Parts: sequence; C-alpha cells; structure tokens
Amino acid sequence: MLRMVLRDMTANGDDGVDLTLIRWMLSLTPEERLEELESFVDFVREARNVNAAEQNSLNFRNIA
Amino acid sequence: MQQSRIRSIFETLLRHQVRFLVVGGVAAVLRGAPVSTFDVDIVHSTEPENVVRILDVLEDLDARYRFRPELRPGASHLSSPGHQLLITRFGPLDILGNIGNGRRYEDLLPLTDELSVGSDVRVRVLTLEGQIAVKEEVGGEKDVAMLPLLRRTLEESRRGKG
Repeated sequence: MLRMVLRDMTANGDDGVDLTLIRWMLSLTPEERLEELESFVDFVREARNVNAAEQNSLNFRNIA
Repeated sequence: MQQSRIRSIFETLLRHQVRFLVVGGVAAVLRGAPVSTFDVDIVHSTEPENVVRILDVLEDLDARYRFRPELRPGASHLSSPGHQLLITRFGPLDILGNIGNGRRYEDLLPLTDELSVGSDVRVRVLTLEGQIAVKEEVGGEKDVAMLPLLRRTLEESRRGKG
C-alpha cells in the first residue's frame, strides 16, 4: 500500500518522464486535450510575434 | 470562443468524406501524451476516388506547399507514398502517403480507432501502440526521443483502465 502511494506521488519515472503531466492529460477528454494543445500553441505563436515585433523595432532604432 | 483550427481541418476532411488517419503529434496529444506540435499529420488512402476528395479539400483549405507557396499538390503527388508538407488557412497540414517502414493507410487502419474531438466530429487516430511501433521503425533521433514519453503514457493509460 505504502509502495503504491509513493509510486503515485512520484513526479518522474526512471526515464525522467513527468508522470504527473501524463496523468493530468489522461484525466482530460480527447477534445479537452486538443484545446490544451491549441491554447499552448497560440500562446507560443503570440509570444513569438511580440518578440519579432520588438526585435524589428530595436533593429530599426539601431539603424536610425 | 474561437473555433479550433485543428478541428476545422478535420471537419473539412470529414465533410468531403476523405479516408484518413490522424498520426504524429496531434495523435499523441489525443491519446494523452503531453507533447506540443504545430502541424496536423494525416495518412490518407491513395485510392483514386479518395485523392479526388482530398483535392477538393485542399481547394477549400487554400492549401499550398510550405516550401513553395506558389505550388499546390496534384493528383499524382497525392497518389504517391510521399509526404506533402502544406500550409492551409487553418495552419500547417502534412498529408503523408506512408509512415514508418512504408506503412500506408490500409496497413495502419487496424492500429487505429475513432475518437471524438467535438460534437459530431469523430476521427480515426493511431493508437499509442501504433505510434510506438512506427517510431521504433523509423528510429530517427526525434522519434527515439519521443519513445519514453509514449511508452509511459501507454503504461499509465493501461493502469487507469485496469
């Protein structure tokens, strides 16, 4: 029993895989998993665009 | 709420009755693996009537090659086992004639089942066992790196069912 509890509280497997993330994903429906993926990808895209815009404005200022 | 781009690609394929299987990163996510990806990968049936349907889909999606946006795939490309790496109005879409060790749509079909990804949107998705088998076959650096995560997801998913 104790072993089971300890195993369930372990965050990483022997290979370094985060089991808590897997368990969280498995607790969602496939539809919810897709939504999580898209919101993550949207965030990364948005952050990339903001960074690109800031970089461009920095380059422009350096040239000017 | 904004309409899901991935679901929009699936809906367009289903509306045109295309025979396809979801593979790659989106398949991994749908099966519960915590990974991220920017493209939708599908393996399609290269039967002539299916190729005609896909051409209609690609028209609807305004699909073009990512590396040469002035080009669109034709029937001969989609009939081949090759990979068509496209950009559509709903984002990147890879249409693959085969994956792994030359496994085509018909070979992969037994390794899939249907999952619901929205109301009235059900797609055939490669199982975790299938994804692991394909990645083991390919054996590329990226594929091997994904294996522990897929294996753990399979283990946890079986444990949850047990």
